Amino acid sequence: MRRLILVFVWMFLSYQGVAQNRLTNLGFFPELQVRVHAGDNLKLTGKIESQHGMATMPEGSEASWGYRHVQTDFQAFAGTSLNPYVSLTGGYQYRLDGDNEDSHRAIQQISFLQRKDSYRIGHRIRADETFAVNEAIEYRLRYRLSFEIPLEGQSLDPGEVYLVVSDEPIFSYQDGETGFENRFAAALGHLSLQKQKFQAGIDYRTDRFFNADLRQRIWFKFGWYLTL
Amino acid sequence: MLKIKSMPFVKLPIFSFIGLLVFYSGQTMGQEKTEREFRVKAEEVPEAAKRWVIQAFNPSNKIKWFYEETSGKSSFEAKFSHDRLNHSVEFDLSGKIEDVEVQVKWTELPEKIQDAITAYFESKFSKFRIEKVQVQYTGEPNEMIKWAKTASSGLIQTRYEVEFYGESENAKKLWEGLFDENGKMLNLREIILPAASNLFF
Repeated sequence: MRRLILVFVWMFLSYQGVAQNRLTNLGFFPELQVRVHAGDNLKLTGKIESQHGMATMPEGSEASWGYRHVQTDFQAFAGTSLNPYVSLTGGYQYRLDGDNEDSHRAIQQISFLQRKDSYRIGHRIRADETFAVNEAIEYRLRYRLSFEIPLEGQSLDPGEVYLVVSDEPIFSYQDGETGFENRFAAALGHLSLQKQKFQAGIDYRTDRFFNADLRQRIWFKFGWYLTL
Repeated sequence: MLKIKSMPFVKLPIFSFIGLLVFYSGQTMGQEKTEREFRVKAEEVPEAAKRWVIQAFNPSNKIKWFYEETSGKSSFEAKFSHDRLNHSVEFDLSGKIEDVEVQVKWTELPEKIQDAITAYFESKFSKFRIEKVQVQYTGEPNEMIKWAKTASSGLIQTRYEVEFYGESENAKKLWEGLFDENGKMLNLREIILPAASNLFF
């Protein structure tokens, strides 16, 4: 466990080290996810996630406060489990974009679950392709490493609180240009019923690493995850 | 809040939807086996239980105490490392010993037990992988103390709890099997992993 904490501290500090002229955005990020078992080995997942900006703060300048709808994503996934630990999933996303053209996205992922004595590790490898009017297709490859750590015992049981921490580097390619983004998230969760989780925490995203102004977006994230 | 109450239900599709989800998820809950375990302070544990652990094992490492509810049955559980093995000792609410579970490596089981359990796996599964093995000891409190001190298991019942991944023609699942002192299967139940969709979507 000590090793885990050190890894997270290192990941967080490493972002601080690369700061140049920093642009910071703050906002809220609610999400709702519903998952149903549609067949013997077919799981369907629907998800809505929405980003709402509250402030923009360029380094060295006054913060500009005000509400703006950044984007709302509607996602649908169909997946199958190869075994209790490995799942293959395909999905589609429609994005209502507050600033640019709305977009469509195709998503492919493989996920692995690892059980440890007192916590679980999730590995998600995802590829996606984004299509928008008047824009070249954007290709992304991403890997998310997550830890789910029960805070009231050695396993997560109904009625208990847990900590979930994740980090996801994302590599992108569009029209000859490459990009890199990192997403670090930490949240407190509650397993309220066997199949219902609530999470609240921080989602810290950094991108434009190779530009003059590194951008960091800090979202206060609230999630509700249901399995029916 | 008052405004919402005064609005006709049909004008609140989103609230109706959320309400239905909560209702439905509550309905499905009834069929689940409930298991809950949380940390408690040593002061909350019956003296008899604490005394028993010290008398039997006197572990040099810290003892972690848990309160556990499994399908309506409550108990206290002590977890500690002793002789470099993870021990878990379960007590009823009065502090009377119920059983001791010791986590061991598969290869540390007696050979005849390994053979018997392997034969069972091979008869039921085309592919299997052992994930966790615990030896379960039960008996009268004094006999259990004797066993803990001398490792003599004369009046102690020994069973083997094995968590494993098993593939058959129809299913690829995680299982927990309980085997008797000869390696004969007594009980088999499927392990349902808690939903992990929050980690993957």
